[in-house]
Parts: sequence; structure tokens; C-alpha cells
Amino acid sequence: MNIISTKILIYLFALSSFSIHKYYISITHIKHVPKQETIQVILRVFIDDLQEELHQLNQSKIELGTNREPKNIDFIYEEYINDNFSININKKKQNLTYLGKSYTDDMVVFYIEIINVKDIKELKIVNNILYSSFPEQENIVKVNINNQHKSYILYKNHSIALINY
Amino acid sequence: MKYIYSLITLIFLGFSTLVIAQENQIKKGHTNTNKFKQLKDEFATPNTQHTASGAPGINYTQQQVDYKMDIILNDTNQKLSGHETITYHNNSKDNLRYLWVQLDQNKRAHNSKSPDIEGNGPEILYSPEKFAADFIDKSFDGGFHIVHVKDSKNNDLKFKINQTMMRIELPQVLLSGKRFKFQIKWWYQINNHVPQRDRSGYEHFDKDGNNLYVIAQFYPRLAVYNNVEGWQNMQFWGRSEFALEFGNFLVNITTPKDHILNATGVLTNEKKVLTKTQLERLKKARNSYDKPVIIVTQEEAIEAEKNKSTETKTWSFDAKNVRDFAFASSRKFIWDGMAVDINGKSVMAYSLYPKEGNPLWEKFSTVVVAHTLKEYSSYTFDYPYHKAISVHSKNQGMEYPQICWNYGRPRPDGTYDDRTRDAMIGVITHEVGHNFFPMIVNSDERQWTWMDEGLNSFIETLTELSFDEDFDTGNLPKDIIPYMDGNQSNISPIMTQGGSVHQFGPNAYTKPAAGLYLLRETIMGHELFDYAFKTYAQRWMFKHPTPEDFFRTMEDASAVDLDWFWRGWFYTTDFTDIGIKTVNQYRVTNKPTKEIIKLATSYGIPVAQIRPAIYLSTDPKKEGEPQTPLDIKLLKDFLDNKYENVSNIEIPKYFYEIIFEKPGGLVMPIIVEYTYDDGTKKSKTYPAEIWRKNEHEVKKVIASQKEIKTIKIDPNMETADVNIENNIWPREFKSEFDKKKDEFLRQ
Repeated sequence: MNIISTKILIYLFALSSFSIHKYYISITHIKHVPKQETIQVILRVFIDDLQEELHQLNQSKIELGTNREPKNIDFIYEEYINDNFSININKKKQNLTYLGKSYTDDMVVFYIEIINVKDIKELKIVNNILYSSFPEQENIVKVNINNQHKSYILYKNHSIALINY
Repeated sequence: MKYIYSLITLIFLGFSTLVIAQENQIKKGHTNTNKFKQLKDEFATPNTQHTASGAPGINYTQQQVDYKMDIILNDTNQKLSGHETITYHNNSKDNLRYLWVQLDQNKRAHNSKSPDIEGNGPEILYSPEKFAADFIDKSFDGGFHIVHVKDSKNNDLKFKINQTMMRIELPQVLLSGKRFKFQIKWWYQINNHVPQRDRSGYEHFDKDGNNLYVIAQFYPRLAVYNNVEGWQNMQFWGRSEFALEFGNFLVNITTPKDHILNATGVLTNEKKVLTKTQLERLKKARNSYDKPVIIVTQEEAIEAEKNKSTETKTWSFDAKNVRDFAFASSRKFIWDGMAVDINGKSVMAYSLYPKEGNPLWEKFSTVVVAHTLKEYSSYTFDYPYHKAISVHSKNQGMEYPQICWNYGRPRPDGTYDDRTRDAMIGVITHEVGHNFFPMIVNSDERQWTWMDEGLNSFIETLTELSFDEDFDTGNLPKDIIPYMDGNQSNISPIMTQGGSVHQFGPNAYTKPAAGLYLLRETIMGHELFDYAFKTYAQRWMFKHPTPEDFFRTMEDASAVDLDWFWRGWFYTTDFTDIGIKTVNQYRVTNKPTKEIIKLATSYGIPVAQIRPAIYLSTDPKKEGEPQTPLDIKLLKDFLDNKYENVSNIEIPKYFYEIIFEKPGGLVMPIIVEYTYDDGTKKSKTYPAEIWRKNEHEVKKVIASQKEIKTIKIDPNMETADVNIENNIWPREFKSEFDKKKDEFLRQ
């Protein structure tokens, strides 16, 4: 899956007479690391989309990734992720440890960890990221567990992936 | 004597084994698939029109088309009508039976075939507007109504319309060197450009009931007749832009009296259409080189919005040697401008924007236009026109000679974030930059989108970085990695006709721009690149270049063989992946190694008879072997003879063999960074030609006084290497996640 930068997308629809609409997507990589007994989650979303979502939810203007970013932004992100993203392993809800974020081009990348993960028989992912503001949002989830690669596209009313091993 | 004899024997026999080894291979022929094979098969054969050096030749020809037009913009019913007199100069050596005229607005005709070639099936979801537009609404007819086509004596001319192309039958053959004058009368219904993001049309503002017109591709335009395509009459399906001839325009545009308008060309009746105050401010602007002067203020624009004058006025323009004509008109326009000094010549930078664009536009637009004209001139030629205008237009980024439409609208309360600002600065730089490519270096965008979009995005990148060195241009080699690493079925070689490419943006904009950036920064260097690039721009100024003209000129003016680069980057979808396969460490010894002993004994030469020599060895170290190179008497004696004082010369202690691998299809220079045990670093670039005999694996021997701790390939991400896991030795087994985690924990 290629992530086209929004700038390119802007060119795309600005210079084209075809009705190419912008794609609203996020990509999440979920990987089990048996050696560390952890699950590593990397979640990528477009900054401008997330900014819009946080405006709407908090009813206040926030700038992300600029020098006007709030000081407690990591707290805001952590709360937002915990409210909108969850993982259950073997029917048990897991604690997400928010490690941090980085900004690249037009995206925010979140690093999240789950510890003490041993045997995975069932994995349930609920991803409601950005659905409040963008009904057409597609959340792509790529899962690598027991060296089996699986990939899911989640939509607003179809936001759960359930995998049995 | 004995020693020398055995050495010669060894060398001689060594060659013999090589020959035998080759003859034992299975014999199977192959064609030349070398990555450095010259592009003789791909390039068009040079001739006296487009020469082998990449310059226009003695028989190069180009048509000229002059237009005299009277245009009426009716704001009440959004109707645009016009009468044009066209003078066609047949400068070619050919006699012509007919002329082809482009009718771009027919793309929006009710019977347009453009929607018919979209084969993607239903959308994932529909907005109500989109659903209605696709399935319910009667299609809008925005096509041309051709009232008549007549010769200069008012006799009707026969014509045939095939979609967006109109063939005009000439009453008699138009001989080489002759000209033909004819007239077309036409009108069409102007479209609202906002919902479909069209390049031309109007935006309606509900609050004050006004329209903002950005009008282009609005009159029947002659198609190009050139030396490589004949008639360029490939249909306009909507995406691949235009090929146009140069000519002179005299245009009168009649608008409501309270409109502010600007267009391609010199406004010849400014005293008639502007107020005294506006003229005074304009005079000030023409002498203001440091900051823009407001010519029509926001207050005046807001006042004009309130009334809808039924009277009209006519604006007259004279444009010399341009390939097209466009204009923007509205009651809503605020207008500012400043002068730009281009090597002693004064050029005007203007902006037109509604109050909805402020405060962003008054702050940045004209300043960015001025900066762009200066920077582009320094990489190409002095901007030859008298002005460049940036017009605010929702969602639009589109270019025409001396005038372009640009997006970047603050929130309704006037606030904006950095991304909106940067997107606006980026698009203004890009669209104003199009004045150079293709408005002046006039490549054929119907055929080759990259020739103007790619070259323009490249200079845009340099211009943005000189405006703000931290600007995220999105056009650097590292930015194109996700595209080049993507699914091969969804990418196209750059050398693909614009209408057929997958992923238009990365293909036609970013990849060529990133490739040229790579050429300039990493492969050729600024001086060689800039000279060659400037040569191309100046050779093809006001002419129609082809891809080969560009490729050939870049070599012709630099003496850098670039066929391998054009072949890989422009003609294929190959990607860069260069890595370190293994690193072997050697020590220096005078004790014959296993390899030499094996070779000697296979020819019956006793070990004792092998000539004393120095070896790089990986054999287990035995007692009594030298510790440093100077412990080897043979070497010490040699050096003592050669140098006065051996202690003053640098003698390496550490020896490495580095084996580079290249899983990627592209050949690239190998940029290596060595980090020593004392923390110091050294960089070395091996030219791409290192891969000329073996494109999968090459080896280098490195001698060093200090121990090497790590070796890194392409540390600054200059070559768009899609896989960086193999770029480092010793291999790091830490994943991206683990590295980030360490970083977060350290904070």
C-alpha cells in the first residue's frame, strides 16, 4: 500500500479534471515479538485529518506538528488512542502502553506496546480512528503474528477484525 | 632469475586457467542487457531538425499562430462568447490540406466521451452531490457552440468536429511559407469549477452573490504541427494537458463595469479601465522592489461586491510571443503588485484574490511570485515577459502564460495553519514556475506530462528550499521511496503517455523531480548539472523540445554519460537497493597464504620457490608472523629506498574487503560512510560505473590506519534506496519500533 503524500494528492485533484477524491486512510502494523513477549503497534495517520478530528472532539483549535502544538499533546494522543483503538487477546482487553510519536512528512506515527503477550489464540482489533469526522475513513490493519501476515480494511460500521490462530 | 621465472609462469598459467574455466561453461548466447548500454534503440534517430547534440537543427521548423479576439463575459447567465480572427503561418516545409483546432470545452459537452473511458466501477461510497451528479442530474452542457467558421472574406469554411478536435478544410492547399487567415465565432456556458475541480470556470459565493471567474482553454486553439508528431491532435480526455504554438494575441474582453480583471499580455488601455487612484497606486507598485503595494484594497473590493453593475467596460490586451491566453475577472478581487529586478530588467509580480484569501494572500502571494521569478531565472534564462500573476482560486493549481490559479484559503475566521500556508507557497511557486516549463520551454504535455511537470517540480524544489531551507518539498529522493517500492502493477515508467500513467502525481511530478535532484546533488554536481540544464532551457526557449532533446543536451553539455540513468530512472520502474553483503577483515603477512600455496602446488612449484611477497590473509595467525606492515622486511626495504623518512608516511594497519550487493534493478553510485573506532568518519563515493561489469556484486579493498567500527551506505538517503536494512555493517538487528522505543525511553 503506498501512502501518497497529501501534497501529491492536492496536485492530483487540482490539476486533474477528473473527480479524483482524496483518500482517507490510516495504516496500522501489529507485530508479535515472541522473544520480548510483546506486541508492537505502529499506527500512521494523516496529520491534517487527525487535527480535524481533534478539533471536532474537543471543540477547540489545536495545531499538530507545529510550534503551536499544545505541551500536553502526548496526553491528548494517548487518550484519543485509548478511546478509539483497542486490542483483545484471548478475549481479554489489553493495556496499551503509549510510547511516543514522531512526525514524518504529512503523517503522525504512533508507537504503542502491549507487554506480557505469550500465546495468541484469538486476536480482536477494534479501530475507530478518525471515523467521527470522516465517515469515508478506511483503516488498514496489517497483522504479523506467528509469522503469518494478514491484512484487513476496516470501515466506520465495520471496525472490528477478529483473527483466530 | 629463478624467482622471476616462477612469477611469470604463475601469471601465465593463471591466465590459462581462466581460459579453460570459461570454455567449460555451457555455451549460450545473449544480447546486450548491460545497464550502461547506450540508448540507441530507445531514442529517436537524430536529424537536422532535432540534432544528435540535443539542440534544434538547421531544418527545425515551428508554426506561428496569431489571434485577434473579442470576448464577452456575461455574468448574469455565465455565458462566454467570442469572435476570433486567426492568422496561421505555415513555417514548415510541408504543404497543408487542413488545420486542426482544439476544442477543450467539449470535454464538458453533454455528449463528451471523457466519462466513458473511466473503467473503475462504482465508488466505495457517494456523497449526495456526487450521487446526484452521476445518476440523477441531467448532464451539464459546457461544450463549445461553434456559430460559424469563415475565411477572411466571410465565406463559410467546411469543418468537422471529432470530440475535442475540429478539422478545418482549407479552400486550397496552404503552401509552405504561406499564411492563412480565418474566423471562428463561438460561445459556451461557463461551468462552476468547484465540484469537479475543473481547471477553468467560476466559483460562486453565496454570501454576496458574486462569481469569481478563472477562464482558460476558452477559445478554439490551433493544435501543434511539429517535426516529430505532424499534427498533435490526440484527443483531450481531461488529464493530459496541452501542446500549443507561439503567436501574438490582441484581445478585448468586455465585463461588467465593476469587475477587476487581469490576463495574459500588456493591458493597453489601463487609463480607460482603472480609476485615477488605482493608476497612482499601480505606478507606486511599479517602483516598489521590496514589498507589494495594494492597488485595489479589501475595502474597495467589499464595496464592489455589494452592487451588480449592468454597465460594461472593455479591457484590451496585447500579448507577444505567448502560447496561450487566459484571464481572471470578478468584483471580489483585491489586487496588489511589486516590481522584481531580473538582471536589470523590471518585471511585475501581481496577485488577485478575494477577501476570503486574506490575510494569507496579501502576506505571501506576490512575495512568492517575485521570489519564484528570480530563482527560476537563475537556473534557466531571464524571465522574458513583463509580468506574472497569481490568482486565488479554490482547490485550483493551474498554469497559463503570465497568469495562474492557486489554492490556499484560510478558515472563515481568517486563521490558517502552517500546512495551509506551505501548501499555498508550494502551489504558487509551482504554477508561476510553469511560466518557464512549458509556457516558454514548450514541451508537449499531451504526450509527455513529466517534461514540464517533472522539470518544473524540480526547479520548484530548489526555489522552495531557497525560500525556506526547512521547507517540506515532498520532491526529494527520499520522498519517492514509497512509490518506487510499491506494487509494480500500479506504477509506470516515467516515459509513458500522460493519460495512461498510474499514480499521476508521483509518476509525472515527484519521480522526475527527485531524479533530477539526485543527478544534481549526487551524480553530476551543481556546476556540471546547472550548466547543462541551463543549456537545455536556453536551446529550447520558445521552441518544442522532445525527451531526447533533454536527455541528449544534459550529456552534450556536461561530458557525463547519463544513458544508464535515463534508462533506469525514466524508462523502467526499477528501484534502488544497494547493500553490504559481507565484510572480510584481513591482516598483512609475508607468509604465503593457502590460496597462493594451492595455486603454486597445482603447477608443481615448491612453496620455497614462491617469490617473497606481501599477502592479505585471513589464515589463522602463527607465531613469528609480522604485526604491522613495517615488520615485513621486503616492504620496509622498499619503502626505505623510496622515502627519506618512513616514520613520516602513513602506513595502514587494517585491511578490509567489502562486498557490495545490489538486489535492486537500478545502478547508482555507492555512497559509503566509514566510522572509525575513535568516532571520526570518512565518506567515499564510487561512481555508478562500478557496476558496469557485474551489476549484482562488486568488491572493494579498504586499507586504513584506524579500525573501522561501522560502514553505512547512503547515510543521507540520496539515492532513494528502498531497503535500508542491508545498508549497514555490522547489521543492526533492531527494528524501527525497538529503535524508536529506545529513543522515547531516553527522553
